This record gives sequence, structure tokens and C-alpha cells, in this order.
Amino acid sequence: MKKITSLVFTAVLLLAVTGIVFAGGRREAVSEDTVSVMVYERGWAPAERGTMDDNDWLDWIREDSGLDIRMVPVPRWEVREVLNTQFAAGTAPDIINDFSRDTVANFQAQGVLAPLDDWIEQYSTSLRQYLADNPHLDPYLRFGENNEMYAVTTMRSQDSISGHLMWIRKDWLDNVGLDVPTTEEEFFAVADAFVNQDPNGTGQNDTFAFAADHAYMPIIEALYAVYSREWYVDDTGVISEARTQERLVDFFTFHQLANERGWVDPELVTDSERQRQRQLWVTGRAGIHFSGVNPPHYQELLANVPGAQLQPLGPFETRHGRFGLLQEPPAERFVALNRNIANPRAAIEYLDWLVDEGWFTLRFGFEGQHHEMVDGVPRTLLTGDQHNEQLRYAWDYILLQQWQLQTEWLPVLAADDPMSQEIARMRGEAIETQLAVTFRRDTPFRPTMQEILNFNDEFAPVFNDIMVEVQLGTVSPREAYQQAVSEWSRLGGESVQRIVQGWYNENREAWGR
Amino acid sequence: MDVSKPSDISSTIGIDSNSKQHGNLRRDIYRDRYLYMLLLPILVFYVIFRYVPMYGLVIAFKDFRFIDGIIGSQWVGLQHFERMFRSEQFFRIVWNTFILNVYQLVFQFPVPIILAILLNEMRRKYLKRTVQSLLYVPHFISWVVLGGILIAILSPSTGIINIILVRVFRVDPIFFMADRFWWVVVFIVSGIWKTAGWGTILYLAAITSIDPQLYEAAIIDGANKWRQIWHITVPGISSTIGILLILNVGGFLEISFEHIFMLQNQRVMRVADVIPTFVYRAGLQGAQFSYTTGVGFFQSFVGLVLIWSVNKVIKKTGGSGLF
Repeated sequence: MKKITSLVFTAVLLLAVTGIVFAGGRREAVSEDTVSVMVYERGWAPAERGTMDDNDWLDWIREDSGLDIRMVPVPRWEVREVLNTQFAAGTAPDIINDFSRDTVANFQAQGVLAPLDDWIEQYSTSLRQYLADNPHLDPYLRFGENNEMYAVTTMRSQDSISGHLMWIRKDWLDNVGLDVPTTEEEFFAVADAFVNQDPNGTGQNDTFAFAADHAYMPIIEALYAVYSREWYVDDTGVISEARTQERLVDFFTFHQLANERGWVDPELVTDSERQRQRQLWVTGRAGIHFSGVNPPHYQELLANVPGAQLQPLGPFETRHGRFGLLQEPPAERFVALNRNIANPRAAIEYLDWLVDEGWFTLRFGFEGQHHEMVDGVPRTLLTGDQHNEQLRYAWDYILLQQWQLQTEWLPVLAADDPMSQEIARMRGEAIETQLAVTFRRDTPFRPTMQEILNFNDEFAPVFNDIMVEVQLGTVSPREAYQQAVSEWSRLGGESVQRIVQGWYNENREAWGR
Repeated sequence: MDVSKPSDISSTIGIDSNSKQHGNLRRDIYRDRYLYMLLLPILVFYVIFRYVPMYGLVIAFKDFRFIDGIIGSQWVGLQHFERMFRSEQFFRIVWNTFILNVYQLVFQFPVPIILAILLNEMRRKYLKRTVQSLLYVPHFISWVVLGGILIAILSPSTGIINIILVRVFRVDPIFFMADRFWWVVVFIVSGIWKTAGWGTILYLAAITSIDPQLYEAAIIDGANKWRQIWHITVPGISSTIGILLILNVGGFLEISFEHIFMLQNQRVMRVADVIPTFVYRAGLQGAQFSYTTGVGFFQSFVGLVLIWSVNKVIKKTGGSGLF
């Protein structure tokens, strides 16, 4: 009896283990016509509507396009990590997309993407027409030695071209008796006054000049045209990387002063989610917010500080000139196909459907229910909260679209209540301020050679150390710049520069430079 | 005394292991066939999940591309290792990993031993059990949560620690997380806080297996508490200490990823950038799979050498060793 019991026990254990092993290896059977599509997971899908891979909008997509579309949610900020793993395991979706061209370049180099020229020619109508009508998008879509098309895209609207922007508290400026700063000198004076002259009137020394949201670093880089990993061409046609520009001296000076004079919260380094920065801003303890064209946390700020007045603040003049803040290249989302795709025709048909009509409904919802047409413009019928609940989660299904916003439409588009109208007005003003100064970009996109990646693995930590010394004030900006340049060449930066110079010389004519 | 000796295990399940039939392996297996069948699932597990994946290691010697797969990718010989040994960053991360582990060994390793001995000397059973449970609690808090808590309580402006420092001791606030010296202290202390309680389990088990008669004899001979601990408890658990030491040293180039990743920030990268965070950055984010596999391979190789050497030393000095 004992023997039998132990035999049975062992057999069950064995079965359990092998069962687990083999169940893991079995793949779900998928029909021929299914197309799987990557979608950003931002946690936007409200629980009562389902999840990003199962909700009412997705049902509508299937019904209206007549295609069996499956969504594969990928965390918004881990696209590379997740797709890397999925491609390595052979489980990546048929259609992938990202805002970053580098992502497509990366997977193209890995050989896992399908060249698209032939399929577009064969299967597509609307998308083919769109790309033919917008030839300036073409260089962004071609990769590799044979210069084949590996991605498709549509044009950004001007509200999504304008990237970063600063916002300043107008009421604070009035309190300290200063004008909106337009030069570096004036900006520094305002920053000092915001720290020292009690702009919030609490009688306490409790203010910072900046609320340093995620755009803080990139905005300062853009102000001095030393934008991270961008390459700049000088008058003689020599190309060099941002971290070797002489403008770094002023960039470092800004950072050193910001820390020395208490413009920025010293705990920014540990504030990885920027929760502290947000708190400083909405409680009225910071005067300049570094973000984008949407008025930052405006309602929350007003709730705490009823008299707060916001104004968009464009880039200031430096001694090297005035440089615009980040503006995205014209191409919006880069959409690429998996090389192992079973049904390219269905995938292309889906993209055609999106660029034709799908995008509009996914963006504005149904007429009468989500929007009404006013002067040919879809005015929303939803409040902000309703929008978040009913429409926002369809946003990332819009891989391709033909929306081109005019800023004068903004008040029409927005809901009728005074707050929505106020925000729309500010947003329009912000977009115009942002686009008034052009972001300096000397090549349409960044070079993506492996040598640059390898070099950066070596150089980035060294540059980071220099930056830390600058912030701590243990090295002068000029010395820091000299260190950066000498480290750059010591670690072999010149050979990388030669490669990029070759790439630039080869393509400059095609880019019209 | 040694809990890990096979004789203890077999005697607890009632099998006579003193029979002199060492040569006849097949007969032994047949005789204990049910026990071996129980072992089988574990062996299968190890083969499938520990040994089979090792074939992926070959990509350290290849230029791995997704499309070509592990087998099909091109061989590049020792190219990745050449790059590794030429890289300054590589030596920086290896040094950081090594030195943090040395600190952990010196400051963290002895804590569970001391705790276990202290717990063992506690008179009241219920108090002992309560303290023990409380010590286990940190083990169940994830580093993600703990990282956030640490940053909050160590904040120079709003953290409780600095408020005490300023109000009571009248010193300037210290930005613990952004200072290269204090960051290391925080790293080690938080490691102790989280793991020490859990680490006592093995030592407490070892202490219970010490023959009580030894203590009685010592008491009759007039040995005080200190003498008892020093001459009975410590020698009694020395082989357990030895084995854990070997395992610890074997993992010398490993470091808990979550632990360091959650505490890292740009200000302390010079001391806080270690092999696992580098592999995450360059491998998973930068898609340099071959190179980072090479780095991981190097890490495992050093681990093997260390584990083997320490084992040798412990055996030479009369301990029982791991193998």
C-alpha cells in the first residue's frame, strides 16, 4: 500500500512538472487573417471599458475595417526592452510602431523588419497616394545599405511638432517688478529674483526659480544648441557632436549657477518621477515650469493659488544666438512590419483603413455622441474627464493620421466651459511661441551606426561625471568643457567623427544642405 | 553537528547508510528507487531551466542578430572580449561590483550570525518568536517600495533623519543619496536591514542541532555565557558559516539588481554603476546582446574561480567545504 501511494505521488509530481514545461511551449493557434499590432500601454484604458487589448474601440476597429486585429500592449517607456525580448523569442507583433526613428533603425539592423516598397506598391491605395503626395517624408523611411523603405509614417500636426516649452508665472514677474526675460542676462536676473525676493509673498525663503519636470535637461540643452546626441555642422561643413561644442561652456555655466544660486531644487537628482517638482509647482513655490505646450497642471495650480497667471516663455537669446526648443521632425509615428508577418496584405489594408478614415473616428469619436461639426471642425462634446473615460485610450491606435491643426481652431475644438476655453487659448499662444524660434537641427535625423553606440557606452558615463562636477561646483565651466573635449578624443571620438562626416557628406545633397 | 552531512539526512528518514556497498551503484539505485524517483522532477527542472539555456552563451562569441538566431549568427571569436578588456567602463563596473561586495561581506555577512546567537540566548519563548517574526518582515518588502521609502526618509529637506539631525544635533542636513560616501553606507545598511533577519534562519537551524549535553557539561565545568557561546555555539555552526561564506564569495560579482537600481542616481554613478545595471542598459536597452552576454560570462567565470578557491582554502583549514 505504502509503495503504491509513493508511486502515485511520484507520478503526479512528474506529470505536474512536465506539464508545466510543455504547456509553456505551446503556441496559441492564430487564424491566417489575424494581424497583431503593437500599442503603447500607458494605463489609459478605464477599467469599466476593458483593457488595451480588449475594449469597445477595438471591437469597432474590427467591425469597421473588417479585419481581425489583435492588440499587443507594450509599456510606453519600455518599448525597446520589450520588443527586443519579443523579437528574440519570435513572438513580436506583426505591426510595430514608435515615435523614435532610432527604434526602427535598431530593428532594421537586426534584420527583423520587412522591406515595404513592394507591398505598398502591390496592396496599398490610400497610403501609397499619401506617401507620393508627401515626398519630404521619404528620407525618414529609408534604412540600410540598399536604402529600402522599412517604415511608413504620416505628417505631424503643428501641435505635435512643438515639443518642449517653458511656462512662467506672470504674477510673480509683477511681484518682483521684472519683464518677461528675452536674453540670458534677463533670464538669470528673473531666476535670482524668484529665489530671493519672495515672489509668492509668504514672507519665507521657500521658493525655487524652476520646477524641473522631465523636459528640464533637454530644454537647457536646446537653449545652447548642445542637444543630446545631436550632430552640428559648422560653417566649413565639419560635423561634430553636441558634447564637443564650445557652447558647452555656457551650458555648464547655466547648470552651475542653477545649483549654486538655488534656482533648482537640489533633490532633483533623486526625484526620478518628478513628484517633488510637481508639488513645488502646484503649491506655488516655483516660478518657471519646464514642460510642453499644454499649460502645466493649470487647474491644480489654480485650486491652490487662485491668483496664479501663466504665460508661455520662449527661448532666450544667448551670446551664440537664439536657439529654438525641441521641435519634432515632420514624421510622426514610425510604423514597421515584422519580417515574419503571415499576412502582409491584411496589415497593409489595415494601415490604409487607418490613414483613410479610421484615424478620424478614433481621434474624435462619433458625431453627435463625442463631437459635432462646427465650421468643418470637430468640436468636442466631452469634458476633460469624459474624454479620458471615453476616447483617450483610442489615441495610440491611431498609427497614421491626416490631422493638421490650425491654432485658430483651438477654441472651436475645445469644450464650451470657460476653463476649457481658457486652456485652449493658452495652448494656442504656447504653440505660436514655441514655433516662433526654430529648433536647430543640422541633419534631418541622427546617424545610427553601431560605432556611435559603442563609443557612447564609453563616453556617456565620463560626460556624466563631468556634469556632476559642474553641478557640485568643483570644476569651472571652461575646465569642464576642456575635459569633455580631451576625454572625447582620448576615448576615440575622432574615428566616430570621421564615420559621421562621411555619412553627412554622402547625404547632404539629398537633404538639400 | 553538521546538518548538511548525508548521514543526518538518511538517518532522519530511516535508511542505513553505513552499508559497505559503495561500488554497486546500480544496486543502490534500485534499492532506493522511490527516493530517486522523487529526485527526478528536480533533475528535470535543472536540466531544462538551468543547463539547456546555457547554449545561449555561445552568442558571447558571435555577432548575434535576431534574424539569424543563436545558431545562425556569425562567429566573431573573442572580439567582444577584446572590446571588454579595452573598455575603461568595464573596469569601472567590475571594480564597483567587487568593492560593494567586499563591503557587504565585511559588514553584512556577520550580522545574521550575531543575530542568531542573540536570539538563541533569549529566555522567553514567545518574545523570541515575536522578535524573530519582526526580523523577517523586511524580507517581504520589495526593493521598489523600499527604494521610495529610503529616498523619502533620507531627503535633506523633508526626510525624518535629516530633521532629527538638524533639530537635535544642530548639524547641516546631509544629502545621503547624492553623496558618494553616504550612498555606499545607505546601500550597505539597507541591505543589512532587509536581509539580516531572514539570514538568521539557517544559523538558528544549525544551532538547534547542537547537542544540549555539551552546554550542560560546560555549565557544570563553570563556563559562563560568553564561554558557552565561544566554545560551543560558534564551533557548532562553523561549518554552516563556511558554506554560506563560500556561496557568498561565489556570488562576488553579482549584486541584487533591484536593490542597486532603485537606489542609483546620476550623482553617484561613479560608485554605483555595476555589472547588472550595465548589462540592463547596454543589453536590454541598447540591444548589444552579444557584448553583454560576454560581460555576464566573465562575471560567472570569476564567480566559479572564487567559489573554487574559497572552497579549497576552507578545506585546507579543516572545514568541510561545499564539494
